[in-house]
Amino acid sequence: MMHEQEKPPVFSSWKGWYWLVILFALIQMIVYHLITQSFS
Amino acid sequence: MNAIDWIVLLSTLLLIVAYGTWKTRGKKSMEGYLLGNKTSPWWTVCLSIMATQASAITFLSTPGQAYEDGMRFLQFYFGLPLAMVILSITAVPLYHKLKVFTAYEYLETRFDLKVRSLGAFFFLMLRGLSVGITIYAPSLILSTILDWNINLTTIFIGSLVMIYTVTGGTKAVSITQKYQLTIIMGGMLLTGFIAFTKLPEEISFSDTFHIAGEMGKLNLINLSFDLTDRYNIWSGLIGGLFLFLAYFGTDQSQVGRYLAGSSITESRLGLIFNGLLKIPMQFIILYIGILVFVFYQFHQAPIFHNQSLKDKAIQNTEVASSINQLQKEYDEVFNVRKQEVAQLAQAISSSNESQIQVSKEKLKDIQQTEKDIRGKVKDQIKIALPKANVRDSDYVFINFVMTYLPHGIIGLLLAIVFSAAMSSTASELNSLASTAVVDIYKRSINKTADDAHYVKSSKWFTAGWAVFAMLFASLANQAENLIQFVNIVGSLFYGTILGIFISAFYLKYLKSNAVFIGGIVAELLILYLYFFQREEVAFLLYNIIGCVAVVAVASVVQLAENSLEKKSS
Repeated sequence: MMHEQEKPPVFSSWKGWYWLVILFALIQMIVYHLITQSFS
Repeated sequence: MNAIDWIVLLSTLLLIVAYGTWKTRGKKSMEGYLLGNKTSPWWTVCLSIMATQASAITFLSTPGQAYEDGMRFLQFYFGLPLAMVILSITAVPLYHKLKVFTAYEYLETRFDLKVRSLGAFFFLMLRGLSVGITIYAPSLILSTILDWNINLTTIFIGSLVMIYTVTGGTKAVSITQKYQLTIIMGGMLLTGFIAFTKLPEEISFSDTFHIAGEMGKLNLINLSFDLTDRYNIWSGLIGGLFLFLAYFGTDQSQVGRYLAGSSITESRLGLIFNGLLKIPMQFIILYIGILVFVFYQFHQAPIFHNQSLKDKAIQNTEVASSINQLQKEYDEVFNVRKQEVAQLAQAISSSNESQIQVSKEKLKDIQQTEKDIRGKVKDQIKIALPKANVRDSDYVFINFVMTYLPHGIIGLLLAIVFSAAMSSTASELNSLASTAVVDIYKRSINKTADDAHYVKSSKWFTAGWAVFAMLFASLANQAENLIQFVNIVGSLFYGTILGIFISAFYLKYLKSNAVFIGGIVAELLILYLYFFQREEVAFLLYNIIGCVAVVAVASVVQLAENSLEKKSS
């Protein structure tokens, strides 16, 4: 990983943003799976 | 279309073009022309990335895809968020640190000129082929719906794009994309809302989910592991991850968008927000197709959505009587279906499970009957017009817009289609010019000219690629299979390009000769698979195969080179 000197907004490190993206994607997949199961 | 629609359409387009051209007037350096002086904030980067990826076909075809096939296409994007994270960590800081204009400049830093040239060549092949289709595909649909000459439609779109892209470069592209994407999303949401308001009063928004679900359209997630199936969660996560790593990490039409970010932070946030917004955006676009589907449960859908083609076919009198007969059968089936859907809706609201199951079974049979009738209509059209493309799902959405939306809104929706075509084309032209000038012309042909000369060359290359795109689109008119072809042309090249870049980023033991040979062998393998083994492997997997092949072949060649060196020393 490259040495980072720029701090991100909102989170104390970029890992916060990366986890946000991944978790949001996972939550969506779960929601879409529930929709598929519930309405089909 | 009436006068109001024309006014809305033309004023929207001309305002955007004029604003983009005016805002970016003035003299520019190479960095100014190709990277917008690196002044873009994260939200401009994000909008630009999204507008570049979403071409007109996204907005024309995607709702039609949901209408016909359900929402499973959404899975195609599941690999995108992780790709954004990986690129934010690796590519963004590296490209910024090296101060490159193009992604392929980096390859020379890491390897040598021939690997850089190979990467640039693959990109120019890939983008050069697809830029014509980016204009052609929406031109075909629009010219059919509006009864315009297709060449004039192509020239109209291409010329508008050329004006602001040539004069303003990257900055003009980014500025216009902001407004284009805002109009696009606003218009799509408005269409969905109008489709919903035209449903019977007793149908609520949640009822649309129930109806669509019971009729098999909410097939969002498919957990089965099937390598030949294009749309399941695994092909989306794995194949999609590689595709989006290649597309966003190595395709200059996207790299150029986030390199224009004013700092690593702005570029990263642009990618990250793309990762957050892309899947919900696609869900919305697909669901608009579902709303159109539900709408057509209560209103008669056209027997064939490409009305213009059907009208041409019935000029053949033999076919006309067959189609008319089929239309009568279709009308009768619709009356039965309408009653059954009303029963289903009632059963859903009263939670009557047994009635829901009964209605579901009946509707399945009715849908099959309708599908058979539509199949026969397509056969008749083929008899009258043997070369016709009878796949009409691309016309579902635009046909709905032209038939049911109020005047003024029709003009706006058409402006959306044009805007989407223009925004993608502009990025592609800009990136083709950047790569042609920086990686080929300046690097190998004319190395000692001044900055002003290269800016002028960039403008000429932009114009040249625009003319090429319009010519190619006109030729594409002769062979409609090119639309099919361009859907896979990305996968033919991306895997190899990604393999070269992965070797560059992560595999320090690989040197330039090995990667160069690996790139060529991998590309030959992919072309072999495409021409001779097409049925066995889904296209998304070409990205993984190409990538792995580059690394595997390069590793073997490197081992051989190392041992030869040892022997000789």
